[in-house]
Amino acid sequence: MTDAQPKPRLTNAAREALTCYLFLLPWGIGFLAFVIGPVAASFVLGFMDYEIVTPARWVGLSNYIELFTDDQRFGMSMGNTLYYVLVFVPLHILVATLLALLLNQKARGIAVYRTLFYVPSIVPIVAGAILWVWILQPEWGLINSTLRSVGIEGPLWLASLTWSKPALILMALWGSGAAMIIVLAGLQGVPQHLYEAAEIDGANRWQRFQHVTLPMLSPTLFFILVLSVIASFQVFTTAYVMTGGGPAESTLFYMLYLYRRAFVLLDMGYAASMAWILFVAVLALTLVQFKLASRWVYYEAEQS
Amino acid sequence: MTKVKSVAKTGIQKGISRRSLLKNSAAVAGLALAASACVPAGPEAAGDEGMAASQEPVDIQIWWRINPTTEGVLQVFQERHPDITVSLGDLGEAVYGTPKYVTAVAAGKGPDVSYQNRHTFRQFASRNLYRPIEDLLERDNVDKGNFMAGPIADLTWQGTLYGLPHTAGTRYFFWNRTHFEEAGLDPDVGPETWDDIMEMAPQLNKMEGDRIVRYGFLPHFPPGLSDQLLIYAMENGGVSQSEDGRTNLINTDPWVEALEWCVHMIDEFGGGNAAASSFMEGFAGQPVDPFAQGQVSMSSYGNWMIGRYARFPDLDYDGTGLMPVSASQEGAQVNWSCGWTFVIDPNTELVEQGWEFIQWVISEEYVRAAGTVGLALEKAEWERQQLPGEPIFAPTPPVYQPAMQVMLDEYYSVLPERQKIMMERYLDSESFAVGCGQIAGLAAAELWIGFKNAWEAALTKKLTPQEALDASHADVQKALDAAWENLESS
Repeated sequence: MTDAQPKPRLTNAAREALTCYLFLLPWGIGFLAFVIGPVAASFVLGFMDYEIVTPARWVGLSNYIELFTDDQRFGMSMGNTLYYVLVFVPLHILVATLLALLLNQKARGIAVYRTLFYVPSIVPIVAGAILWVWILQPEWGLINSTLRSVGIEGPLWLASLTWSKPALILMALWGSGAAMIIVLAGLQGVPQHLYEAAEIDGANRWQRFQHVTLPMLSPTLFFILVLSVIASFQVFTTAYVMTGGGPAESTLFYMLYLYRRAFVLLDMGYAASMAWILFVAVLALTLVQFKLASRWVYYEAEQS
Repeated sequence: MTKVKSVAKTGIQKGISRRSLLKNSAAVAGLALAASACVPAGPEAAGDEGMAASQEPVDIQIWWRINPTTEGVLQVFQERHPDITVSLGDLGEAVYGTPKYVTAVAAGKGPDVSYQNRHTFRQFASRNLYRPIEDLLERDNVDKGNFMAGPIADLTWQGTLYGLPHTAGTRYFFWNRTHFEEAGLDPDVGPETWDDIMEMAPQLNKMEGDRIVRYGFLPHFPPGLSDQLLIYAMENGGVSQSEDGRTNLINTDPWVEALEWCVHMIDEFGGGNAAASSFMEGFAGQPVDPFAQGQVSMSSYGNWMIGRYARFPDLDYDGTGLMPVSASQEGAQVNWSCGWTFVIDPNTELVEQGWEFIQWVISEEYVRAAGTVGLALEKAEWERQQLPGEPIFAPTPPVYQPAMQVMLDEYYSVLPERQKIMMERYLDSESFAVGCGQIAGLAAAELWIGFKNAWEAALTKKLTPQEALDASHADVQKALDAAWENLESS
């Protein structure tokens, strides 16, 4: 009599794969329903006249044509956004890097300093924005009062056409703590033996920074650059809370204009087409960044 | 969504101290009971009780404002209507647009009843965001003639009424009597024309060196509003759109002249936009405004401040709803009116319960309940601030005339003489004021943004008044054309 075992219907590998997919399924359903679905719907809506409360009407490319040919605010809001991106992103990386370098020292109470600089980045953005409205208040705000005490008459900040965007950038820089922590982690990952070797070769402090720290930190900086550019193109909350897009639309950023078209003017089809233009623009810019990354980002694994 | 009992949450949201919160909560709960006791039981009450014994109460969702007054009056409503329970939610931003309500209704998840402002009412009524209520009016013999005419016109689109108006308010011109006396002006007589303002403003300005520390008059008042331009244009004979509602007119001469006058006033008597804006920014987001603080002598604001200014014991103020006009309009009675309204969701199945609530909330019973709760809160506030004398309590005017009569008899008649006269002047102004719904038309959201854009662009000298208004006109006209096209094609 043979002791034949019944052949299992599924191999172990297949069973494992099936279990894996079953566990992934809830996420997959959610991803399809709440991410892919709305993204696909917004693409279709971009070709429609859709006022939310009335049935959508197919209008072909007319939303896109209007955006590029007959909407001054599209260009203006994109211009405001580009200004923000071009000024904020480099400053953000610079501030985060400088702070990380400072806080990478072996000093007494350094953990406290790190915490203090990190804390603003976890302040809820609306609360931070309201706080900064007070700080930037021209008459008795903290900044202008301080400037006045040294004989400088500060600008109108949020009420000024010239200074409203820099004011929002200043506020955003206050929240550079999260990037600072990432750079700090990058700095602490630089092998000590590289510094020792450079020192033996006679490299001074600046040369060690230039030829050891920066190259070793470049993947981290690249990561922050990509994320910052994407996030900066989507700047919304601070302008919504602090200026409402004013004065005279000087802080009407792209996302704020998109929100206004969608939820104030109920022009959801038009807003969807704006969203897709932004998506394509940011995607293209990100691809360019990846393309250029090989020129300045150093990956140790690739070199070896 | 908050059940009406959650007074504590509201207190925390409003930043009231724990002690005053507890005091207010206790006061509201107690006075809600007292208010319900004051309200005579109508014939339907017996029927309601009978129904309550046999049926589960029906829960309706209402988006209103969450504050001690609304929660207090809803307790009274529920005691009077045991067949209905109310889940109270906050409406969110809703003056110059109503995104929370719009998206909820579009998703088929709107509240059964909602508070709505009339700034954008016609735009949304024309897009079927509200349930028409003509059938309910007819069935229950509710006479539109019992309401102020302006608000009813605001809520009527193509002959159909889409909501019942709850409160109303007009622009109101205030002046500081003490400042007038100091400047040798008659404190009993405010300016009647723009020329009067231009004559009085420099006399009322107060300087410290070359810096203005008290402004006689600032057109961009109060901080934060987006529609100041409208009243000045009306004072100069401006109308916002053609009679058929198809042509926007905000770049016509009366509007341009009005904006030029505002820019001139700021440059000539306000130390220029930089100084004036810097000064006004100081009050943004503060609970007090510069008129209340005695730092502006004349201001164009709203009638709702008649009662609120009474909380400032050092402020001796007067005012009128008859707004000062330009020379070309001398003698004209000018004002605009706006306010809040209750509507029913077009998709709700709980029309009867929603309608029951709306009829109650516009009624005399509501005025008494809200008055009882509101007076208690006002007393608590006066006590908290240790203000001298008896609280001066001037509740928001209702639109339903029988409710207004109760308000007049029981609240406005006991006001101090000056506030009583000011209230009478306000009521006069409602008789000639034009409703904001009629002013704004079908591209309302774009129009209010257009006012703000033109105002800021001209004041900051980014554009001339003509250029600024041309730009806003183009935006509004485009939206207006699209609105009519959509309406006609559907």
